[in-house]
Amino acid sequence: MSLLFLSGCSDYLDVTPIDNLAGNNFWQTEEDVESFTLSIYNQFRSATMMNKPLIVASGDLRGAPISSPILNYVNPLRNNNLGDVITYNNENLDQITYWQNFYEVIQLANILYVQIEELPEGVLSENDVLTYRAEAVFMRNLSYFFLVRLYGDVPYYTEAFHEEALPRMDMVEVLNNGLEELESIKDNLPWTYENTAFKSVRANRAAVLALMMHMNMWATGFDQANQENYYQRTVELGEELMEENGGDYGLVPLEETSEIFSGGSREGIFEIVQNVNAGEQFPVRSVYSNYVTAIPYTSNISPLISYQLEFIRRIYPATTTDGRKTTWYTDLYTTDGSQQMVKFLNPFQESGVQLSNVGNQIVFRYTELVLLRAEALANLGMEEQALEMVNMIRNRAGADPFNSFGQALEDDIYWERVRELMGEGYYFFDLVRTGKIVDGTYSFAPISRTAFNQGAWTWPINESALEDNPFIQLNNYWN
Amino acid sequence: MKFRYQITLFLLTLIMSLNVEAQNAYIVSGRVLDQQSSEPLYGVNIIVMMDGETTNRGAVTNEDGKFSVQVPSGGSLLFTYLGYESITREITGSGSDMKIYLKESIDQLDETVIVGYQEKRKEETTGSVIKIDAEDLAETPVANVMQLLQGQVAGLNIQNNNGTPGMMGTILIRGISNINVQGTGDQALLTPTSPLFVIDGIPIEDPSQYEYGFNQAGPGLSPLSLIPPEDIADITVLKDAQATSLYGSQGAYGVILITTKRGESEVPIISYSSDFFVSTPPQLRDVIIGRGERMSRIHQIIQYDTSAVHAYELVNQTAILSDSLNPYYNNATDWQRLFYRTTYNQSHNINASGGDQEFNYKVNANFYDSKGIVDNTGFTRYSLSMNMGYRPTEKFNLSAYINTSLGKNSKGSGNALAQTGIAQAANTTSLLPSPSLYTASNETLGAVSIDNDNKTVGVSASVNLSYELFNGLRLNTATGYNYSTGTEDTFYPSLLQNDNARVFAYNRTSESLYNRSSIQFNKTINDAHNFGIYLNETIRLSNSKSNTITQVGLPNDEIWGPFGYNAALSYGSADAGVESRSVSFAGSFSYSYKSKYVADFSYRLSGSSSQGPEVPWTKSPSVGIRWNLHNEKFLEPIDWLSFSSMRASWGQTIIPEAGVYDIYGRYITNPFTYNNQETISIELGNLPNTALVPSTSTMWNFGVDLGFFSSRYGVSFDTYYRQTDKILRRKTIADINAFAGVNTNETSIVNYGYELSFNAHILPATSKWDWTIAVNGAWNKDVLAKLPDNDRQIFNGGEGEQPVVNRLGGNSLSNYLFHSNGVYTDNSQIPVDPLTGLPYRNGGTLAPGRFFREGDPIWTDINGDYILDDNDRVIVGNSQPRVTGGLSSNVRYGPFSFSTSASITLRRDIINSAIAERFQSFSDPMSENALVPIDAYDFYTRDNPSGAGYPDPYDFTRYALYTPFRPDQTLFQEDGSYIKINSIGVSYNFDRDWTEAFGISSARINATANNIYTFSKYSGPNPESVSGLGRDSSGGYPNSRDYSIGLNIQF
Repeated sequence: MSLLFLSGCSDYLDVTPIDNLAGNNFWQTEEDVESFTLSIYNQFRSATMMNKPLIVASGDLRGAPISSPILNYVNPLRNNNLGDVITYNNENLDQITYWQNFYEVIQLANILYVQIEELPEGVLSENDVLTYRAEAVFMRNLSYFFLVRLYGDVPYYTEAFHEEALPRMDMVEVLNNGLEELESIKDNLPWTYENTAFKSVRANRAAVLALMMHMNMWATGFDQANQENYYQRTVELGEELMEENGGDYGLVPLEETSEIFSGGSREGIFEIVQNVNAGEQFPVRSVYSNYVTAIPYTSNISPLISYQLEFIRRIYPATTTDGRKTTWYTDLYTTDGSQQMVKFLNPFQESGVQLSNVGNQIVFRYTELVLLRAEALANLGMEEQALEMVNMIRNRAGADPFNSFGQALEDDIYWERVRELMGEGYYFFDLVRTGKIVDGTYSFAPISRTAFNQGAWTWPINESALEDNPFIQLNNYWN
Repeated sequence: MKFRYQITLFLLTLIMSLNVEAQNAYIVSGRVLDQQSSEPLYGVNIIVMMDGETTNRGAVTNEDGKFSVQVPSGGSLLFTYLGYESITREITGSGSDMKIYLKESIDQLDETVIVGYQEKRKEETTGSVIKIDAEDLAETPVANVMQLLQGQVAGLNIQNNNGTPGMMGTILIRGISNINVQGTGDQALLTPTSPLFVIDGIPIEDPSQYEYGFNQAGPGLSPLSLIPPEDIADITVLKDAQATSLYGSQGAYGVILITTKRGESEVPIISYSSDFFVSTPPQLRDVIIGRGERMSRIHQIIQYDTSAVHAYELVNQTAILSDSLNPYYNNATDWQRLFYRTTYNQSHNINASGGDQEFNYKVNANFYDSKGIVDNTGFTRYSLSMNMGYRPTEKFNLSAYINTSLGKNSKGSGNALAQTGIAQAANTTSLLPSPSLYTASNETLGAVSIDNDNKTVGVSASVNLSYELFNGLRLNTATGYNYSTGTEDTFYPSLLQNDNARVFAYNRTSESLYNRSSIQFNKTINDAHNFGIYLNETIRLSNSKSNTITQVGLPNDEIWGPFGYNAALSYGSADAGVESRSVSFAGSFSYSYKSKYVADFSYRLSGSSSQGPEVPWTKSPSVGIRWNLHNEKFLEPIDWLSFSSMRASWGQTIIPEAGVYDIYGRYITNPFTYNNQETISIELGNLPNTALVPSTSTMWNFGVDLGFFSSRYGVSFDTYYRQTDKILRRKTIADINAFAGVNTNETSIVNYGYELSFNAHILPATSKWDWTIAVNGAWNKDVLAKLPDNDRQIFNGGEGEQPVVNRLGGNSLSNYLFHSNGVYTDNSQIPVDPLTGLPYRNGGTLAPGRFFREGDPIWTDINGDYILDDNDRVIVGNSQPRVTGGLSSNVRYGPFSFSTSASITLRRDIINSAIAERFQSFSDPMSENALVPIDAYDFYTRDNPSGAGYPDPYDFTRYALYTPFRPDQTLFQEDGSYIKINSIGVSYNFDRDWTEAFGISSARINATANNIYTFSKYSGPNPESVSGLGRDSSGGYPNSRDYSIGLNIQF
């Protein structure tokens, strides 16, 4: 009897719980890997869109020349009074001070990276393993990039099941670590996917290149000694992205802008899924479009925010021709509340009636990267090529091409970014990255140089980060 | 070759015995009787001796003690009987009326005990083992036999802190092994670490979930409550690692073996016993009722409100105070009497048994009914058990056991542990009318009108087969099956539920299958060297599942069927079921030399499904040695020392505490899809920790057993050191790790202590009186040796939660309290911050009421910032008792006997929330709570400010701002030492000659009082009715005092 049991003991003792899955029974099939991978994307969506209006508040509203008669957190956001902003916990703005959500993405990505080894032999091809790992690396570094832009220096780790307390790492080091890692995996991913459910919502080679370009460009602002290198890398990566994509990515005509913001267009490189039919809908305040539209597109009586007319005139001078003035706006120059930005509205079925933005949130878009490449080129003094890039976008918009050079060209490219990317979560970060936030000629709510150096551009980190972590120092500017 | 030698030997003895046969022989007959009672002894072994050697001839006495045997001339007879001293008689001729009186053995060393599934003589055990005969326990009807063991075994700390009928108190052997706390405030509970219970060789389901009646839903009855105490023959407590090692990790917290009675008499014996008992509630607290209550409240408001105008306005606005002519407010209801009651209960037990060496049987039927002293609660047990043994030859042995029982209990409106509803209801103002349709208090009505019906059905069966393959080698297999269902049905009338009558049904079934197969080999060489080898393998499968149904919105209060129409509120749940399996292999080797030197080695390997298949097997090794000095030549001249021995043991038990989710993580399906595809994530509550290891408990034990003057006095001393390392404990981790916490093995505690038992037959054997006394005491100290991350201390729980502190080097569980230092009798005594000019105040806002003034408690401002907050707490007290023990005495004179038992618990600290609540009852004179007279206490009043022990209870306007009667202050931490008289009983044995006329072979009556009195300085209701953490919650179920009269008849 004993002998009988000795041989079969391991099997005998392996009881499979039927209410939940334990780790020793997970990581068995391709479906396990796939659904776990999707949960990483899901977690990223929670961190940016679902749990808090992170992209809108940190990228579009902060420091922007806006006012709102209704939303009382808009004014403090504009004036960088974040201490006031985070008291609006009913809008989940306080949640932006918790960095934990991004670390959830990081921890899950790290787990995927390691646990995929646990799969029984033959379940996944070697190639599939490399692809999933590349996805994990991309999602991890995308999160670090968001963390760096929000808080500056952040704790950094890539181990799975990490449990130690860590001090904050210099953000340039975080970015360089990420760049190194991304470089090694970028070729493991396809340019795009046949499957429309995957296209531009799953990590792809273009998305990796886009992230690397952004990491380089962010580093230019904070590691000025190596600025040249970062610009050089951005230019190279931009070239790779534009020249080698095999026609998967390109510009969409201006009239079809709404296709871009529905998701999955030729311009979309990486997007966060909103699938209203499956009950996956972003909260109202997380979507920029809902701030700048009103009846008949949304239930707002008038748009919730309005831009200073001076700013509008600055980006769309009355004398210039520009297709975007009419395609993206109604009543551009009015200040009575009838101005609406219809850029993000989606066509409803076939009727052609435009409705509230129910499409994906764009993280990286082809146009934006063309402009980023132009900016890097201009900074390296390669003005011909820079002009070529920026004029691609000008032409598409039906605007006159630029023909400037030197500082004027750099300014033109900056303002072209402001114009083209309005509402896509870049406004504040472009100001910080380029240091223009301290300059009243660019910023309508400038921060003093001293305050900037003390970290006024960051978000306050919640005190909960100190718990069980003796190494953490919060962002001093906000204390 | 060896085998052939044995055959030759066998033939030789056969021839020799034939030779003997041929010689002259005498026929001897007679009776064997008990020396004390002169009752016949049945089953006495009589062995024919030749030249001082035993032969294979002999006889056994019948039920009348009679025997008849043929003895060759020159032979003698050896009479041996278990529990009696053996006697040898030379036989010089035939005789027919030989009378042999056997004397009951009081030599503890000849007693046999069961250790590690093997029967051993106590002289040959190396571990710390204590056996209690059921006869020595008090003759009180109880639901659960463990209640009677309180104070009987040194080192076994039983606190009967849960008076709910059928429930079990807390049981700890040699201190705590875990410092994990669940819950907060006075509801905080220590994670239970119950010993393992083994009934007739079959371990029962892990009782830890029953320890506090834990199952929130369901009957919560302890499985031990389903075993009638009348059916128990003896109980053995195994304390040290050597004794428990063969039981593996389940036995890490000690093992308690329970053996049920067996048939022994050739003529069937039918015995009937019956008890009637009265349960009385403890003394109810005094309350102020009627007009006295109203005037007290009004007086308080007028004297203490901010202005007289406001005071009168307040009184006038509070209808219950001003509208004294309203019949609704003009009552003097005694609420406690509505819920607490004296009950009359009964128990009956019939036992029929009989048989001989070849076949024996026993049938036991039991009925026990106890109505709780809280209205609407109670416990009823019906049980039928039988066992039989069949032994056609010496080699083959089969025994079987079946026990079926039904326990019915009602928890009323509370749960198995507490009656908070009752406590709240009993705390209602007397001005309101007694429960009726118009009663304001839901708890009141709920307590009496909720219908709670629980049934626990248990069936257990076991079969034990053994076969002796050849001399000394025995094969044994034991199989047990346990099945139990627990159901709960609760009905809440519509009156209590906003016109929505509700039924709740809970159903749980569990079963377990257990098998143990073993090989045992014993060999003696040269009459001196004794070897024993024992190998076994056990497997265990168990599973359980449960489901609940709640239906809300029944048609009316009469139809309770499943007709809930309010679908939104009606719900059900099903627990997917828990399945667990375990397997173990164990072996032991023992050696003894002429019973002088004994050595034991044992080793057990076990695996369990909760560990998953990849975790290494857990191992428990042990070593024990014993030196019986009394068998040494050099001690033979010392007459007065009848026995003396020394024991030492070491053992390690490895306890797997981590579940499979702790190790590998729990993967869960997210509620949201991503792009309409399912996503599965890992649960972020606990970081999986693949490095988790089982906790290790290492115990050293050293003991001395001494007997003096022919074993009339016995002393046993044990000292032990137990170190429990790698205790599983959750710690929180930095938020950058995404997971909230992780379970690690970084906690260690040490327990060490001394145990002393003393028993004496005070009077010489010649005396007509027989007086035995047993006293025991145990001193245990626990020290926290390690905390996660090498922390020095950990605070659990915050403000208002009566926090528990784990501090390195100190006792594992301390309180964290504000330090009280009297009462301010004058405003000038209040310290003023020289920096701000503000007086000392309670933390929070700068509201004027927060500043201390006269009549307020003086709390020491530990950090000197003139603000009282969490930083001013001090670490103080120990909730675990340092000393436990007990005493029992039994005096017998002829047919009379008088027995008494007491237990003692010393040096533990209790937080007396009960008295804090008394004072708090004055915190809001407008509320509808009861007013408890506090005249007995010495507190501050404005009329009499000096020398008060307690602060001003009447200052209701500021009460919430400074909470003078918060329970977490040293004012309410009291010494919880107590000495309790557990029971006093007398019994009378009727004269056998007289009863035989009625066909009754023996009859006895007894009267017993149980839970008689507790001597204690503690000012709360009862120092025993507190949780394992020393929290005295008013919601607990009080212990009743029982008086019983019983009758025992044997036919």
